Amino acid sequence: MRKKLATCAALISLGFAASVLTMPPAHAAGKLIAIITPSHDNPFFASEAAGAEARAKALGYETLVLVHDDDANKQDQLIDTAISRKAAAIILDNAGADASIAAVAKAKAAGIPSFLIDREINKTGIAVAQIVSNNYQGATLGAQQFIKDMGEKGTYVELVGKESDTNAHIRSKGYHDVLDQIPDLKLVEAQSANWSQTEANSKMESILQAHPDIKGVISGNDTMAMGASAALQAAGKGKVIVVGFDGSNDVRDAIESGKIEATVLQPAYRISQMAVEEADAYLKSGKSDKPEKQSIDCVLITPANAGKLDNFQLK
Amino acid sequence: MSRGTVLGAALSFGLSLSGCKIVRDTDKAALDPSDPNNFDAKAYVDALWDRKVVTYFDGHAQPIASVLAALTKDKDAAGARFGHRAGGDGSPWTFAVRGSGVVKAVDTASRHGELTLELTAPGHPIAATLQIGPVIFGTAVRDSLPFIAFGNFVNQIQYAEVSRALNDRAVALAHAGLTPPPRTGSTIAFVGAMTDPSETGETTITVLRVRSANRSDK
Repeated sequence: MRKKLATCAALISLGFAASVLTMPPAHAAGKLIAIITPSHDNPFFASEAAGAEARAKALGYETLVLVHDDDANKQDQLIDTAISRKAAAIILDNAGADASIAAVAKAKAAGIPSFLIDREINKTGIAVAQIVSNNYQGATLGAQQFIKDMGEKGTYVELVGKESDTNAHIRSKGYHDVLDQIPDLKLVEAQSANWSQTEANSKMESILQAHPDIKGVISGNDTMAMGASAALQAAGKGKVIVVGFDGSNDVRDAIESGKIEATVLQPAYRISQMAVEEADAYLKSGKSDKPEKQSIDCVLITPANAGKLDNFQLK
Repeated sequence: MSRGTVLGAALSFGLSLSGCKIVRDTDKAALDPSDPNNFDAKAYVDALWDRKVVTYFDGHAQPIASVLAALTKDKDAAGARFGHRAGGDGSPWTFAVRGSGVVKAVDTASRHGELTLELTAPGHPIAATLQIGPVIFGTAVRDSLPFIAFGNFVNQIQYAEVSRALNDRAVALAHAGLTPPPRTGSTIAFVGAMTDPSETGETTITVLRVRSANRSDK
């Protein structure tokens, strides 16, 4: 094990050295940071892009803000765009843990360091940093609150995120590691709504046909929680416990008006700012003094602290 | 330490603790956290538990009163001296702690069983909660171990599975000292893991070892 780790570390440092050596001087002096995320239709991605853009501009960089719409082919084209524009660094919320490995490797081969935010890729040593929310810790916080609000019993539905995204699996795992240990909580349906509000709304409508008496919905993100909540309201359901994940302003407002019980704040704005700061330090020194994989803890949002939440930050 | 001593120590732990698993060479892929297809968190934790995890807690657990006092003065100084920060700057300090206290309440009705303690500490009384399971919340056990780093794992899933497997072993080990559950008013001693209480406003400890303590232990 030790030997393997040492070899691994050696490979990573070789990789770093190689990327520094192959980086043409024009790149090192480059002033453009490309910020590539999923669609800004989801306020979470809009906020992280805004956080990265604001920090990059404050540090004197120009920015190129692009969206891949969770399409790995489109992401590939955007990486080509970043390369041809001679970006100094790429801040990336990627389009799939496996599908994005080649794209990040391509940028690296072109001498452009990538700093991943929010989502991991299933490979280390090709991105300089992978900064993610502690999704497991966050999911267990959401599940603990869900248990409390459910009174440790009742039937519930789980809305799962996008299959290609590690975060969908890890949040579901965090939920189940807690919920499955409560014998009187019964999962009646688990479906993916691909992080989408409209898809969650229509899936919830059909789930309610089959299970009109459900007592709770736990959702892998806030947009799906909003979609489910709207379906529950439209169907005239009384008190159904809904818990989301992200910490959006929409869900904050729903918590304050009693339609949703809780969510889990991912410090999206802060993570993207950290990524830009680490990119800046890397461009100046040619190395990173942080571990590649970094995880930032999430915060439970309930009626008690919802008022302090704004744009994925606690005031 | 010679190989013989290590083997002897491992053997004596193996004898004193049930559920010890012998890992064959063919299972090595299951123990590699960078192998997404074969990694088995339970086997990984079983291989580390007696040899590294329990020995770490027994050897490094700090007096909880000292840790809490240091935290109120300077969080980062206390963390650097007594604790570990698993995920870098954005994650809380976590500590291996030991201490004792008087049992104020016992909740075994909830699946998330808890003992409420008043810690034996100089000055004013300090309330603390021991998670006694069977459901354990949080990742304090994993996060207080400096030799288990996020960066060694393929992704958050394997890393989370390791936390879950560690919690299961902690509950099983602590079970001996919790059967039957301590009575209200009795004094117990414990070794466990604690996340910086200022994160949640509550001093919560995931215990590995619990035993009844005489008042003279105070």
